[in-house]
Amino acid sequence: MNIFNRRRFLKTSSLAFSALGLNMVAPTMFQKRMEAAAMANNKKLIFIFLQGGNDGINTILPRGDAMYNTTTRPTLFIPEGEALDSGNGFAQLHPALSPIVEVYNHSSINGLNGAGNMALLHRIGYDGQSRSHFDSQHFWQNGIPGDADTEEGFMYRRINAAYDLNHPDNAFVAAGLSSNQLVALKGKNMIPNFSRTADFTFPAGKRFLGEAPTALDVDGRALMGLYGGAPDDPTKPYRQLVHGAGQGVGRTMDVIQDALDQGAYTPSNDAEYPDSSLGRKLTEAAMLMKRTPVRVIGLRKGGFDTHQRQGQIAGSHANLLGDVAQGIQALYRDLQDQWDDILVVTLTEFGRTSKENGSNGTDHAESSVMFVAGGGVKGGVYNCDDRTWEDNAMFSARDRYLARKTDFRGVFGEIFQRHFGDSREQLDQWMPGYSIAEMDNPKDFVPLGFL
Amino acid sequence: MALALTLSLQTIKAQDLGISHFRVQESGVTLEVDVPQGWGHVKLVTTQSLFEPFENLLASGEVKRLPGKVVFTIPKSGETTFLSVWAGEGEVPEAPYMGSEYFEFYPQLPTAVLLDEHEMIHHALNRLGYGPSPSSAEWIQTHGLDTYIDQQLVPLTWSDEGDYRMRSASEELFTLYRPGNDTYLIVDGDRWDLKKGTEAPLYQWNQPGLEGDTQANGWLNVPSGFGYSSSGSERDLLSTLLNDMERIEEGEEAQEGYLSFFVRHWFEVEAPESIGGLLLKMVYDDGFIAYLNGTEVARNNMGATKRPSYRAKASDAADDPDEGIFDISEFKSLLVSGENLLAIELHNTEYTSSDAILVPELIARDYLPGYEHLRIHDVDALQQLIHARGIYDPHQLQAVMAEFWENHFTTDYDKTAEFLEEIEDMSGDELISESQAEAEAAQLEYKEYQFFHDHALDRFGDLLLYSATSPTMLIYLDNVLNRVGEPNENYAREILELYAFGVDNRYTQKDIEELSRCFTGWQIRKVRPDQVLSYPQSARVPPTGPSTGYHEEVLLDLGPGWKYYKGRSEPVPYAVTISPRWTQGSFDDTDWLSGSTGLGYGDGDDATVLEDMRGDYSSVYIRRNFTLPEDADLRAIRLYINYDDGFVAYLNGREIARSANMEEAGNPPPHDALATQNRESNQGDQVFDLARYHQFFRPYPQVNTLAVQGHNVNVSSSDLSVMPRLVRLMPASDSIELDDPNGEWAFRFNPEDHDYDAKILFEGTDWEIQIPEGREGSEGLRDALDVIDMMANHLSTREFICVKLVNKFVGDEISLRTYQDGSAPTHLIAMVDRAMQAWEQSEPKGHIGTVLRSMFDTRDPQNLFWTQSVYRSKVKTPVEFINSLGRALDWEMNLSELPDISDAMGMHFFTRDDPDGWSEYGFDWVNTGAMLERLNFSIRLSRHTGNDYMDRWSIRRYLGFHGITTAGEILEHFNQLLFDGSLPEHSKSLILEFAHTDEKGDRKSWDPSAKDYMARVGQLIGLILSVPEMHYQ
Repeated sequence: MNIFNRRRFLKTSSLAFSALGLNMVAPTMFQKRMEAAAMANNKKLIFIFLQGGNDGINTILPRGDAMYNTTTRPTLFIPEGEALDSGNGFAQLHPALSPIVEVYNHSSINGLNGAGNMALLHRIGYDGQSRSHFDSQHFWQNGIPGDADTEEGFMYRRINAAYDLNHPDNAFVAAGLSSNQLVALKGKNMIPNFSRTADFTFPAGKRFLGEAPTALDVDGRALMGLYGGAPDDPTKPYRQLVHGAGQGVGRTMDVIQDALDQGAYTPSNDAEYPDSSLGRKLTEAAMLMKRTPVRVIGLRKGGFDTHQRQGQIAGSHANLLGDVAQGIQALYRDLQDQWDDILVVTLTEFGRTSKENGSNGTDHAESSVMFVAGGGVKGGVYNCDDRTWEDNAMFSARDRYLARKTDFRGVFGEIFQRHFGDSREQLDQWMPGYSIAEMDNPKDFVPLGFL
Repeated sequence: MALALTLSLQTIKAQDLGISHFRVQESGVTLEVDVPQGWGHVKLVTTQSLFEPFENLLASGEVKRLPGKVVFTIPKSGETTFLSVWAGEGEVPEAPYMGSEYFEFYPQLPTAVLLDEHEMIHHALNRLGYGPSPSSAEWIQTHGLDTYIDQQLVPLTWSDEGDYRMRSASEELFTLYRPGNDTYLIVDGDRWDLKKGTEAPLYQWNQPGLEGDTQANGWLNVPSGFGYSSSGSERDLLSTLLNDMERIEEGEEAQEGYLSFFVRHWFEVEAPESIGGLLLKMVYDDGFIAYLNGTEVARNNMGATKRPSYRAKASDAADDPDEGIFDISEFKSLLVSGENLLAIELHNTEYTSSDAILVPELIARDYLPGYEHLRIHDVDALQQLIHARGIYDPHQLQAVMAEFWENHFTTDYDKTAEFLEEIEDMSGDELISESQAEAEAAQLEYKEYQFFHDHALDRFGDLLLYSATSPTMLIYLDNVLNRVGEPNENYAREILELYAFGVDNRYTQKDIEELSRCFTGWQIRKVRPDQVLSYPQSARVPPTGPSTGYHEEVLLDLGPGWKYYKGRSEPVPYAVTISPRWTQGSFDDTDWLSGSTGLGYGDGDDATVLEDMRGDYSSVYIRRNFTLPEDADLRAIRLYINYDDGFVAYLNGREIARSANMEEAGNPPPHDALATQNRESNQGDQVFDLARYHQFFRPYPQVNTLAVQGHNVNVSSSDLSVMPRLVRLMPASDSIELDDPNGEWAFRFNPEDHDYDAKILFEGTDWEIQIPEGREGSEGLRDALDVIDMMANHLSTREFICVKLVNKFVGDEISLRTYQDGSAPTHLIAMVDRAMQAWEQSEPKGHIGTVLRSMFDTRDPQNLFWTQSVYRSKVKTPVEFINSLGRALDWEMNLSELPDISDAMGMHFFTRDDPDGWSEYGFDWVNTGAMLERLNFSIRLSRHTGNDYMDRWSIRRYLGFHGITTAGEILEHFNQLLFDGSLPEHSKSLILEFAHTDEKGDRKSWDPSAKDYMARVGQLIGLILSVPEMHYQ
């Protein structure tokens, strides 16, 4: 099959799957579509997209690779004594990551035997890696590398299969904490998004908001009646999306207001969220996890496009890592009541050049690092130890880049199967083309075993 | 010979192309083939036999991925045995028979449902502009749609004298800037008379006529700035500490304190009539009133009381502390030739305030005539300008395209401001204040946006080159850091991916790396206002030197001629207090010793060695007379001083410089004062710009005195040195200081940082560019210019920009990829082809106005723009949504809140982080968060009662103007205006039901005489403007 045809095939199959999903819904089955697609137990997920391309080499330092040195990285290189030890005798962590040690808590680091609930996955990418921010962010979120046109998120597909998103009871099973929806959560049916809960109000009042048409009240009232009604011309684009967004406003309003009505939120267990935009969003995510039926929350943190003055022990990249690390530490403490049910995952579109550029920064490259934390996680560093890190790995792709070891879809395959209890077959539904990609590059899909 | 033919359909691999007609005539052979959608070209090949692997290509032609019918007409040939027709991808292969004589293609376009006349008007207003307003709809009804489109396409040929709203908005967003040279009439550190506000001063304290109110009445004579503060950095501003001012309620240090103090300073003006502008430069905390020769000229944070009491509190607190330049030019006629008096009173908000600060300076400005220009207030004003143009300006298409280009070539104001603020001088200090950096960054963003506005419909290549050389872009994507041997590929990647070719569209990683080397040395500099180049000179023949180019000339070097005094005691004999009189020219230094500089001991760097100093005395005083050259520019003199450990320097009796480790040592420091920190002379010279003290230099042939006191960190220190020099900087003819507010930032090509090695781009393609090594000097600029000029009309650029224009104006359901693989809807593919053809045929190529003219052509039945499949098929972006509501109500808006509202909906111009610009696709803007903001805005806008959003909005006048009263009439007015009457019946009945019921849902009649009528109309309009149909365009 040539590339052109494969793309065609993927597209068609993607459409077919979603059509299939819809067709199988019995009209009366609101809560769960089909038993098989229901999300197991009460498992939950928070994902954070690190936008700009996080420098994985400056996150999990490959200390054992001789090419990690002051020649390849003159201003970025972190001396051994300054970095955190990972305990595997090969990898070290950027010192700014110290807050996650509490979660990672490998016994050989600080002598404590702790939860060990933090997996650090190195060298995650995909075949045909794009070095364009915008394409690659898209691929990571629609789950179809090579297809920048499909505006449907892989996480959306998973949620949409488990819930009828148009039913009021399911209005808040997932949310994006962002003023514009993340692609991972986008789809024909609306998953709500907002930048802060406190802004989710409608001062014009209840009468103005009205009610959507129902079986009892066919016409509906006011705004919700307008958005619940028939569109002007159903053959034109965007009608379903616009009407769905309008109704989503009404449905989400109640859930958020109920959550806010429970009073100011105080994190548990001395959790201290960073004083940053990410910290504020994670605080809200934790609050919503505790007070609402939400199962999946997505958000972004920008600034990882460190083309210049990336910094060393301190500096711009260190600040970014510190912010994320403190955020994960705070979630770990705050969500102890549901820690066994939760996963916190970071994504990023690509890693950065193994060699520092002329402006004390790094340029776009290929594979990078993912963090996975949660009660069910087997902590540790993956893909960065004596066994897995071959000589000269830092320049193993096109002499410039760190070659990938594992496909991000493989990581999510593991998460879907082990965390949400999905079957292997379903992975092709959430990430169309999964099996073909696995056939092409089987090594990229060998489970890492972090769950 | 007869022609033997077999139609070998089974050999056509790619598609089953049925040959529908085949005819042999005298003139030749005619073949008709139906081509399905999705192929780039069709070719006709002959083979000798069915099994012959060698193909002989006969004819070929382009089918642009559209379905349709192909007709080949080729001469008869004796050789031909088998013919087959193939559809293929990519470029059309070269064949003997090409061109319209041999190949015709009749695309089969979808059956288009044409728009009626009303729909066409709505369509034009929604797509060429930001939506219908009552007046614009009326204009088209009167003058005709074609006239409207023609006008929109040539915005520069007509003016908008009708709309006063655009003019008044502009007046609020800009100030007229008049470049000028500044002379400091009063500087920080000048001595003032000061009276503490422990009692009232004489009522005439601020009047020049007042005599005798001097020391006897509690007036001190002390240097500025004045005040107190608990913060160390704020204390650095102060030369005279008023530590008794703060009220301390309890404890050992309890004191009454006072709320205000009063200062007066005489200054001399020789020719007041020659002063162009007068500026009061203030650092203050909290409130002040300033008087010039007895007349109030400026105040802030002091309420309105004309002559407040000495116990009056400031009305508002300053931020820590406020800085401001108050233009008091309107009062310059108060100046007299000779002595003038500036008097200032400063008040605190509270007795117990933690600080009070006053640092006044007075500046006379000589304006440079001929270089006045508008400067945008700030970035917020610039964001308002997008709305002002979108809502008011009848040049709607120009406003839309200016926004389009601004977004396409997006840059980030915050990064520019930060970059400018972090520029350092040679001693590592930041040169440009935060407020100046922000003002200059906003102005740069404005200039860029204004270029895109002025040239919105011109040649794409100019927009591309302008953007590449725009200072904000050079900063934004790090080209300013891109140097030979230290390449940074950020910009090179994005110009290919985002600004010209489109992602992965016929370029490689190698091309990015080669192109980044072409861009080395692309930097910015400041240029003088009279040397600002306009485009294209600014891009093609930019300056190559730095902003500040000088050669140094030493006026007073190290060496002999100095007198010195060992600091065992104060140098001024018999003085009761510590006196600075030894620094003055008139001081009698005949008793002092003679020596040379460097002067000191230890380190072996001194010409005159003070063998007895260590362990005996900790300071040394030196002074020397000198005369300046005849032609010396008094502003260009600098003190270069190397020292160990601390020093204070004086010129003709006034302090001009001191080391940081002597800050706390007093004015002047006593002979036994010690430097607070160690400093070594191997750190080299520290440089002090003396421009602000230029009036204290005595011009040729008068004699000047330079005096320095050097202090050790302790008496047993191993060394001490004082090594002052005076240097004048002779500026290059285009030299300008980086912090000169008169200058403008511009593109500079710096040959020193350029990579002159050979480069090769797009290797092996038709567009290959080889750049030879060894181009010299400014020729290196051509490396990237050659590539940009080529890129401007490259096939990839044409495709990418035309697809984006189709996304902007026609429909979202096509992307570069689906255009290329043919999977996009055919009407959109046809629109892209149409645009690309106009691009290619325009003169010059890539003329955007010509491309748009072709896309909006109403006369060509082949043009699918005016069809139902395009009409109301797009969703408005936040800016389009806000502007369309402003236009619907056709009122005068209060623009100031609109940027925040747009931001809340997810879109803000000039401050976007990512270089891809905001999405043109509707699906990126439809989500619950943005929808909530949209609904809230529609409703607040129409229910509005205060001054937010709309000035003097009167529902009554709006209804009266349009002659509508009942709920039905109001609904129908907007239904016709905005939706061409297409609101669904269900929506209409819901809206009318809402209008005719009360809070409880009971029937309520529509009564225009009722008290709550206006509120009900507002709610009704709010609901109408919130309908789902409002989001479509």
